[in-house]
Amino acid sequence: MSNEPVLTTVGLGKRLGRRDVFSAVDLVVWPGQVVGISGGNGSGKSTLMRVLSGTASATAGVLRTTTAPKAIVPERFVPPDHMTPLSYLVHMGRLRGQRRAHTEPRALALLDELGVANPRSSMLDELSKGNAQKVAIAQAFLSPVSLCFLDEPNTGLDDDTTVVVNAMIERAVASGTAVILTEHELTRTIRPDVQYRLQDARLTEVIPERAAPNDGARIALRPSGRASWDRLRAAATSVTLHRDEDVHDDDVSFTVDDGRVDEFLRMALDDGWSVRDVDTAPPRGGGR
Amino acid sequence: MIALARYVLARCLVSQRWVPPIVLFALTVGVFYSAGGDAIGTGSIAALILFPATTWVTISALHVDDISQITIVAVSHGSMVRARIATLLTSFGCACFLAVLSVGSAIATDPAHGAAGGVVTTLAGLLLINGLSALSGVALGQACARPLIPRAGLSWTLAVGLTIGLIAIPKSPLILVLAALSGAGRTAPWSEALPPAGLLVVGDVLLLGLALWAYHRRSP
Repeated sequence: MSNEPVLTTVGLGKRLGRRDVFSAVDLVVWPGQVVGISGGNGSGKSTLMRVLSGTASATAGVLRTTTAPKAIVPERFVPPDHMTPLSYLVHMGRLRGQRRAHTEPRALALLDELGVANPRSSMLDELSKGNAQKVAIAQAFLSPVSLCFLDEPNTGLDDDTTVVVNAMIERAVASGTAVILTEHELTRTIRPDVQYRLQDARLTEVIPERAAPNDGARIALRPSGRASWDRLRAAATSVTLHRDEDVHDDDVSFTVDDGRVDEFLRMALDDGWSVRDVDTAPPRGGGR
Repeated sequence: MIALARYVLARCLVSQRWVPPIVLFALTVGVFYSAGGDAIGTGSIAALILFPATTWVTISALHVDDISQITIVAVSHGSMVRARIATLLTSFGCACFLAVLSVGSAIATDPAHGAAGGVVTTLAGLLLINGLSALSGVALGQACARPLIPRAGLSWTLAVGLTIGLIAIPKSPLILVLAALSGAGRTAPWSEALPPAGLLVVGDVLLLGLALWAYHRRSP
């Protein structure tokens, strides 16, 4: 893994007409780091992502990025028409220097993991919004890249797929890929190493409230007809049945140790549960 | 670059946007060639028709993908401008392919098979004329495409207006250069034809460069 940052900005700014979309953005992103950027509708997250990815020019400041391969999942992916998901991904793999023989099995595995059916015969322009988004995500993880830009990657995805996407991000990060991701609120994505909020054209770092050590995660699940309890009860440190008006009656919250969250989520999906929410567990000895 | 060219070709082929310009080119050229005649004469007319056909193909290639897909391709390929250049080269390659077919047909349908002015002179003149026509078509097509001209309707209207103007006006730079080249080595020496051809190349390259610079500045 390189000791050099994969992306550096100094005083980066973008002005559209008389309005500053963002200004004085100083950012350093290191290999294997996850940088989260949140902000409301129209706050300029997507414009910032386009500038950072080099697909739009800045009006102020300096941007330096690695020359190694990069990938992006843009906001609002409109897929090319008259192409199957597989042929599309093979072309995208070739663009990053991958051979068809290498790309095709990888593309099929990613599409299978994301739950895209008939990758050889369905047409991209006939896919639902969520399935098209899955293809956009698959192209970003087709081959190892140094830096991955994910602009609201969970748009249109159901909760189960969000878990799969988060697992893909974690695997990429573990192999050294730096990830910059935006969401309105960073609640459904993996927890970023550094978190910023873009508001009133300023990017400010958000210092999250630290949970007490070893408090783990609180995972809300909803059972289906075939859901099984046994393995989850054994793996969780505590189980709570919901009976309040804000949540579905059948939902169950499990508190799981930090190191076992991924394993627990996979177990839950295998056993027929839907993931409703993943959050930090409240500190022991006191509620939130 | 080759991977991107394959992608652009695949996109244009499956979207069938290549059909109207290429069919129009083939039909028009076919009508002229069916009458037979001097290779340099019919070949020059075909080169004139290649100009709007290339402009059309270039705009189609640049408009075939949505901006989100252009972004994905640009980031995967390295930069917006490099991806754009690869698309322009693909369009130019397609136009050159048409040009080779056209020149071959012009010589084949000429009763003297281009021997009247010397086969080599005829072939060189026709290839130069067609190459310049293709280059001018790519330059004009890019200048008329988005994001410089963001609305498709205006883009096509401007392209049609400019191509008709450049073909129909007797003293337009394109017509002057094609006329000079078609007589080169036969009615006039090459030394008189090459300078205007060189100027047209410089003009095309300048237009391409300016449009690329504006694309970089105005990229979404």
